[in-house]
Amino acid sequence: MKAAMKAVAATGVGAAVVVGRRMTARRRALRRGRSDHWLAVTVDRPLDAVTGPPRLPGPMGELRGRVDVRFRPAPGGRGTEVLAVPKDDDVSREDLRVALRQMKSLLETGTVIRPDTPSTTHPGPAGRVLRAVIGKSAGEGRL
Amino acid sequence: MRALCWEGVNDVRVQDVPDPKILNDGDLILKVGLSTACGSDLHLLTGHIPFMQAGDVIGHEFMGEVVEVGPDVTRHKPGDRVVVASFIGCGQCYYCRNDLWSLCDNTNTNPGITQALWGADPGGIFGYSHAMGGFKGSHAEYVRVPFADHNAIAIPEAVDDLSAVFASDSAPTGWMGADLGGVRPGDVVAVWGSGAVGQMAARSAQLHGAERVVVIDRFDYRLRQAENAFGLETVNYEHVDVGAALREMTGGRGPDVCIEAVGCEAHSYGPQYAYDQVKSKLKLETDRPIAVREAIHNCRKGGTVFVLGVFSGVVDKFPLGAVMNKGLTLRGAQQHGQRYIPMLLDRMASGELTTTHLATHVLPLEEGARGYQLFKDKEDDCVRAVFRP
Repeated sequence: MKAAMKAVAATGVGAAVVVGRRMTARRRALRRGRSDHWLAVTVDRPLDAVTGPPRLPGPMGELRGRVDVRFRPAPGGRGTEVLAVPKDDDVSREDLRVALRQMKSLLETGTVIRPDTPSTTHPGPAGRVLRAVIGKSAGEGRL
Repeated sequence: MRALCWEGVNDVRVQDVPDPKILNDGDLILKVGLSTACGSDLHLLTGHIPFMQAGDVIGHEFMGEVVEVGPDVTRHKPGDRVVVASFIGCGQCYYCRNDLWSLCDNTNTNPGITQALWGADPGGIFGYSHAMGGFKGSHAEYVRVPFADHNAIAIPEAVDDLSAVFASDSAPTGWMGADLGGVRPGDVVAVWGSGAVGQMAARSAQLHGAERVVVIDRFDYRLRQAENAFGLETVNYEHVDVGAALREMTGGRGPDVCIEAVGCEAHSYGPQYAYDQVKSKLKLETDRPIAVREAIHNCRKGGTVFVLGVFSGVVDKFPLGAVMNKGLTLRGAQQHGQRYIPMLLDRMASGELTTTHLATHVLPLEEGARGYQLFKDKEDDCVRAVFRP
């Protein structure tokens, strides 16, 4: 009976180890995938308006040569999908997100809306923590 | 200038803050005429939406006079009297061009926060936390209005200031509930919440041709207002079983369209309320969806439930089985004001849509803290505290 219990326990531990390893491997693969995938925005303008001058306005222009960029028409005539990925570690994905978002806004509205800063002169300790989060917010998110 | 600022949980104060400036060429500066407290502000006050900094100017429902315009503003000039939509739209992205203004792609300056929370970022909003762009609010002497050609709307002469201020948010939010909720002639419509937005949703349902419209609340003074202003039927859930009343009213079917205008801090009685209170205190759910549950439970088979109340995160015990098995349509949205405001101003001018009764307390801005106290605690039969800077 004891031997049987030991066998069951050993099997359980073994299974847990295997599952754990697979999960870790999957997490690593997902992380790799996330960092490798192309960042994308859809600009609500036709392909020729996006690829014509001014091509890649704003900070996207400054990243020219350091990022790979692809254009394709969005399905249903809903504008143009712009995809980009850093060529090397020189360009962070955060900077690329900011650049893509600003490029989209420039192409659609001709401007990039400026925040009301500083929003307050006395944010307090919690507000300062929030400010640190907000400081990164423009470069984070789900592109 | 003077402005009403969030200083911490349940702490708002009028203070000196820097004057707003034109930052983009499409901005205008508005001298605020009237700015009203909104039920959704209470979620900021209670700390329910944790993206505020001490000193942030609150307020998002307002009207006033244009005093300065940027070089790209073509539709307005100094001296114009305008009402401003609470959500800021760029007017030129896919969502704005399809009249889904609160979903604007280009106006939330902190998109990472809401993209992480909700999977995508809605547009920016005045005075409603840094998750929604961190724009300064309207409980102030002056406010900057970005993309002013799209977000400021001229007020017809026949509409007075006190009527017009509710065209900024309450009226278009209510109208949207009836419109996108698909209210049709002959429908029975139930509205949870008899505050300003609930009353506007109920009146909008009437104007869409609903045959019977019932409003549900626990405050008799608000229900009386709904009866007197618009001839609405009312149910006080403190005294009446809501489900039984709705079934009786609809021949056992349930309302065709149920509009929830309560939001994430809903009140109720009994074990359900205690359960939600405990869960939210332990941060195991962010919002209390009591009115949403009730709307789903009581809606007729194949009917529509529209969520107008503001919710921030996740809820517990959501009756998905009822949604699926009863074949319900469930919708929600922040308000697409720019889509409706001109039409609503015309209806105000014609007398079809009255709003001034909602302004139970018109106070100087300096009494902003007292106004929020009255509004939050439902003192002195307060429906809306409106501030005059």
